[in-house]
Amino acid sequence: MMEYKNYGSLTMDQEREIIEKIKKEKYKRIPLHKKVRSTIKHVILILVAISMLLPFFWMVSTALKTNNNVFSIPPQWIPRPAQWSNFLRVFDSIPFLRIIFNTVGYAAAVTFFEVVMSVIVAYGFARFRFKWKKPLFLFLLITIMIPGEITIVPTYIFWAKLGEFFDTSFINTYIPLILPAIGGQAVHIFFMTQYFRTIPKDFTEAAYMNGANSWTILWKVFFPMSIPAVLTITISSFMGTWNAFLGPLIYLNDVEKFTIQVGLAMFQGMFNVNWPLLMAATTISVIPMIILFFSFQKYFIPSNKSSGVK
Amino acid sequence: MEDLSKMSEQEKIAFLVKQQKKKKRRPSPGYLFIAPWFISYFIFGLFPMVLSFIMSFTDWPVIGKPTFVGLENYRDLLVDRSFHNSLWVTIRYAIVAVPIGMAASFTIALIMASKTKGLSVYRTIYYLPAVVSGVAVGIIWRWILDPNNGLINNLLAIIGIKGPGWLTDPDWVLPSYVLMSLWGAGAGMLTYLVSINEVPLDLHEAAEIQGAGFFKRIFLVVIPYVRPILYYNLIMGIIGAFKKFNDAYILGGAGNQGQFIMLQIYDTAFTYFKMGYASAMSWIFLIIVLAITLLVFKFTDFWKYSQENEE
Repeated sequence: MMEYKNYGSLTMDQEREIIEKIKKEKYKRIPLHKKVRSTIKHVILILVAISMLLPFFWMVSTALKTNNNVFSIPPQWIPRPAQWSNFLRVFDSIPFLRIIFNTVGYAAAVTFFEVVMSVIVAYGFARFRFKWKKPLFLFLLITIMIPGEITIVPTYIFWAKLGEFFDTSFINTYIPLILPAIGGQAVHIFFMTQYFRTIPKDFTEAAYMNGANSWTILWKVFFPMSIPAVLTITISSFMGTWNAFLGPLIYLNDVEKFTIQVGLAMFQGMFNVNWPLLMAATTISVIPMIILFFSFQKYFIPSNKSSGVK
Repeated sequence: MEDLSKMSEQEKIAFLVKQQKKKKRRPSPGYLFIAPWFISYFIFGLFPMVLSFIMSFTDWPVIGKPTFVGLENYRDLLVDRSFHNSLWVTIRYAIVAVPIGMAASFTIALIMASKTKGLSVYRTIYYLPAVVSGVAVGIIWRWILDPNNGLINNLLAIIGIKGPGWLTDPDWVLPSYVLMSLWGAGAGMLTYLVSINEVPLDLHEAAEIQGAGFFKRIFLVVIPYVRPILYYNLIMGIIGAFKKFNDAYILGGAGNQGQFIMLQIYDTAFTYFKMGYASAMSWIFLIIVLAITLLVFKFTDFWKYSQENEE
């Protein structure tokens, strides 16, 4: 207020105008090197962005070419005429619809077990006090570092022998692929435990007062409060299963039972040089993941605001 | 049920103490909640691992009886040229591709960390390749790296360079895999971005007041602060190289230069049906990975996070 008096001769509007002018001057003078820096920065970032997107463009562009166009030099960037029928031909060549259906079922089953069980186990770690909690949790963390891939051979033998024992065969079924998910998944458990620990104790106590037991509290209090974290692990489970290759490759033998990844691998063996058809099939396999990504972007991209796990 | 209101004061106390004791003796329901994971891990994780250890001392064809051969599998591995090759391919990839990928993505993350217009657009685009994994990546890149009609050699032709044979030339197989890994580096880059943004501003200011320039600040402030995540990513990247299967299966590479260890194990077990021999390979693999895991626990405070917010 005191300062105001010094500028007494100016009206508010005049004052604002002067401030604007000073700001503009400032902006003009300082940033020259900053502007150059900012431009260089964006040039780099845009170049990186282009190189990230080009493979996708190349994939779709090839998927729309005819078999002759593919080998034209210089390449056709935008194929004319666009060969949309390539996408239909994929479905004629192998039972692709069936394969997609298999994959959705497989991914849904694994996701269901992994999410529900991970939530339950994480609740056990986050909300109870018991003697062996720390060592058990440490054990869980260590297993994250041990890749499951190393046991593919004995696991295969295990299922083969188990099949013999029960006078049936688990090979060429989805049982060896789905059943191991039944206890939850270590990374998800770790993630959910971290999230549950941030939920204030008051909520639990209020529920206990009302006579709820721990099981009810899990599903009525914790679960609804953790929807973002649950969504994150759901998406990660679904994508992981959709993209899983080694397991399905080992256990599934019939084309009718293939998942999309095994189907694609077989497809590339069959149509080794038919790039348009191969790229069309690849595009189809990728599209659901891209749709998922754009619909749930904030659950994919790590950002400072929503870091459940720091 | 006893009726508390009818008891005398002393009886009440005695009763409550008894109940309290009962409560203590009962195991915590926590065990019940965590049991499913441990049971399934014992069946599907630990048991196969033990089985694999036993198998590694046998000659175990898929059909027919296994025979105990002692250390023979491990002795054979010592002189098995193709196994050495696959180990070398894997380790070389880990040594070359992982640091290059980390350096590139960390640099880009640093560039993005200062105020950037359109940050969310960049973030989306950079993350996109990470969404595509599985077999698709390999197929797309086989076509991009095609020596005659591929994307890269076409682009090189525009500026008048005749591109190399990539996967068809043994010397260019490793660079091909490095290029592919860079394409998927965006997801890691965004985790760096998060941790760079978490560096407290006062640290920056303090360094600036003491006259540290941009680069000095990065090396003396930012990198020490985000070091745990760098170590963690380095080690996970190396383990990732050991797990690399999909791309190797689809792309291969001339002169066996794309024969990663996982592919070697797969071929031994499911193409040549030498289950015992493949198990021995898996154990070498496991020992290397365990050694790396120990490094994680030694150098990073990765698991310390888990003990925050303890009740």
